[in-house]
Amino acid sequence: MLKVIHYINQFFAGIGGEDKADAGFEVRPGAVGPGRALQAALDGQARVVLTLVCGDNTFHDQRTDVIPAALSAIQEAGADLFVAGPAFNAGRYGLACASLCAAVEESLGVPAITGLFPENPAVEMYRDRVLIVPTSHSAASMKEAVAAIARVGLRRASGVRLRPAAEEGTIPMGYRANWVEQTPAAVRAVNMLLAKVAGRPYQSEVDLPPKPEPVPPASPVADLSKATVALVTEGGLVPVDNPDHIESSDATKWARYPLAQLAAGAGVSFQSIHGGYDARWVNADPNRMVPRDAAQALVSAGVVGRLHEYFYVTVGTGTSVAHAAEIGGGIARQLLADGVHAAIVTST
Amino acid sequence: MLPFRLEVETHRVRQVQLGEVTQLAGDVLQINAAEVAGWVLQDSRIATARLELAHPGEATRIVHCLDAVEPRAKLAGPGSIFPGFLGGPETVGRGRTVRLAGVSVLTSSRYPQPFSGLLAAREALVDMSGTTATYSPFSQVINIVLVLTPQAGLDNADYDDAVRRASLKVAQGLARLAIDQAPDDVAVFDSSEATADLPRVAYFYQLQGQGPMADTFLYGRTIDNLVPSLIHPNEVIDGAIVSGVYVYAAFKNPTYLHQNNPVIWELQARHGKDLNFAGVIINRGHNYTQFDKERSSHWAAKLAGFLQADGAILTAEGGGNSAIDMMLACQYMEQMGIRTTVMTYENPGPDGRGWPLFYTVPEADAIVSLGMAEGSTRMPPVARVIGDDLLLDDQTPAIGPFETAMYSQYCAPSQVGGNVLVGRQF
Amino acid sequence: MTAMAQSAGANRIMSAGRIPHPVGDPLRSPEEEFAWRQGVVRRALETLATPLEQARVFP
Repeated sequence: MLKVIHYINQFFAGIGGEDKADAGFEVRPGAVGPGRALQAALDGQARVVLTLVCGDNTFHDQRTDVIPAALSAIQEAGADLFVAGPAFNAGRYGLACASLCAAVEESLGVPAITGLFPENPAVEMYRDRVLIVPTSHSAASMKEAVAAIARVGLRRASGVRLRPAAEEGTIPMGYRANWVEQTPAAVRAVNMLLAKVAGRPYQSEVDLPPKPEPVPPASPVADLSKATVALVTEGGLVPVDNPDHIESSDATKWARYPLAQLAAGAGVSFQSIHGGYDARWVNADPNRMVPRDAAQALVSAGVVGRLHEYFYVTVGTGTSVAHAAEIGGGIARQLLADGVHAAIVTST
Repeated sequence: MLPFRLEVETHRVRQVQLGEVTQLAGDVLQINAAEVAGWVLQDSRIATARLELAHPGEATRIVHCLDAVEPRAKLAGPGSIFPGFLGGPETVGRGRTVRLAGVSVLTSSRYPQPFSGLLAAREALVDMSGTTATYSPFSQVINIVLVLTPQAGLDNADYDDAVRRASLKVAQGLARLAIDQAPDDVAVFDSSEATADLPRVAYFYQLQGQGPMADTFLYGRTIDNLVPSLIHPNEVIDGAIVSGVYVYAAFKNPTYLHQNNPVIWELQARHGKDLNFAGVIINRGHNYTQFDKERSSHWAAKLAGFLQADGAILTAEGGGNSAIDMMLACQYMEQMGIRTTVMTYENPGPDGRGWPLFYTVPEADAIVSLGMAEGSTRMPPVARVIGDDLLLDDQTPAIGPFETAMYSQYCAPSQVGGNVLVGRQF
Repeated sequence: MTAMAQSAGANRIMSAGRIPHPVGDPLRSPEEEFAWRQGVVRRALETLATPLEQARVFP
């Protein structure tokens, strides 16, 4: 039988309300208060072996002591599942439950679950790290809340992969992943379209992204004839041996190479390792991706001050936004450190 | 004009075995491997041809997968199956066609010359059992694998042509075994009669056209300069569209999934019941500039208008580049009052927390997810490998275990909806 | 891809060549291609010197 450890605050342990919020951390054997309903909902598959109790103020004032104490109690008991709350819409209690769940999962690797009202501030803070079932705002729904925690908690403890949040009845942790769907995509598509055409409700399977916050434009280059301009590309142009091992898709790296090496006769051969376009034209003439020859001519003509001595390169295909943002930030910081005023970025 | 009425005879194959005589007996397909290899070796560009079988449920892995083709042949009606390759460019899609269901002719080969960039050698894997089998629709069919090697000195494009013709020829040859045998069922593909009061639904069918080895063929020619065009769904069923895309295994639409395009089959199945199948618009994805993308997508939207479509389903092939063409078509159709549903795979990054789509328009408010091929996955050890002992990196034993990029899984998030994956919020 | 650049939040955007060769045009003679490329880079430099309140796609 699976062993469950349950965390509740002073109120649900029967110690008292707000006036007892500084009650100390304690460990009690067996189920206490709502733990008895939890025990019943676990339906003989798991047993509440210990109950951890702490006053809401004590938890927050002494969390550096309380959390380690709770962790060692859980570890000693060899828990298979940690349940905190449910805390409904209680602010401090909710935070205690969620932060304990995060610590138990991340420090001990023991499955943890809590129940919170979706608008409880702890949800926004911990939803990406903690498994939470939604509850109503008050303890009047204790029975339903505990039943949901038991149902999802048992599945989580058994090691099966949880279903998507909407099917499992959990608050989404905010990531998308593959799932096997038996209704073919074409059937879903036709159903969705017919609903849309007929004006009936339908649910898109992917939400459109929110519009990104506009980035304030950089101030213009005051005097081009005195400016240092860098050439940057996501077109994957690298020395043939790809010395920095930039990936041909979903790149995580960028590199810079001396611009002079691109000149014919410089003895370095470049090619595109970009996984998203037909590179034969760029391989034949790298200026078609990094316009070194033309930019150099404009320097000679006095149109622009000078070219930064390196060009910067990454691969922009199948690239996640997070990787792209890291790469862009990295290149920008290097350009600033080198005193570059402006950059021309060629993209495929 | 002879109406576009096509009878499709289905012969369900439940077992394939090697034997003396190449024949179809009930639901058992028997193949004389040397005989069928001989069909392929008539083309002198192919040096060696070996035939191997992979059944669903076996602890078998197929590597270096190229195209997959369903065995089909014409029984009656004008033209040839796979027109432009196995016959002239005469219009197909009428008369009677025979198919062997439940089997695919899958080519497996390395290419003679090294690739870089777009065509860098990328593995293409099909596992026939275990959890990794959910990553390919071809885990669910019996694969008749043609393991081929090129003649020395051949260039990639020439060899590619030889491989394609080999698989099409074998597919036709095997389907011909069913001639004069009783089919399991006969489906009639005829959408010429419209039912009043049912919505008219068009299919916007975007094909990859990105240059050599990343291209799709229409009646034997690449779609390089394709202006969006109308094609009858029956032409697609008769093999008018053949795949030549070898970029990322996960994101390609092999010929098999053109022949069995789930959107076309679903629209046909529901024609006259809850919709009228208004027609199919093929579009080349990967148009080279913003201008060309806008021009092409406007043209496609206009054709949907000519079809008097009330709604359209849109699919693409490829990555972000091609997503722009499809999304623009979605936008222009919606602006014309044609409602749309877009089918797309997702790209939310390995942790699943990033932006799931490459490019969107505000009008794309009805999206069906085709799953994702993010990060990497562990391939378990298997009992048998078909195709090669080593992966394309020349180091990793194909027998496993090994870790590999998800985009090596053959048609994992099939862009015409050929697989079971879907992206969900967790 | 000006539309992609816009959706990613770039501010100074200009269209140039084609996806596989944004600053190349293989259909021209080498001399003509170089002159064309120089024109593209010159336009890019001009956009860098243009004051901007919000994102703009330069012709």
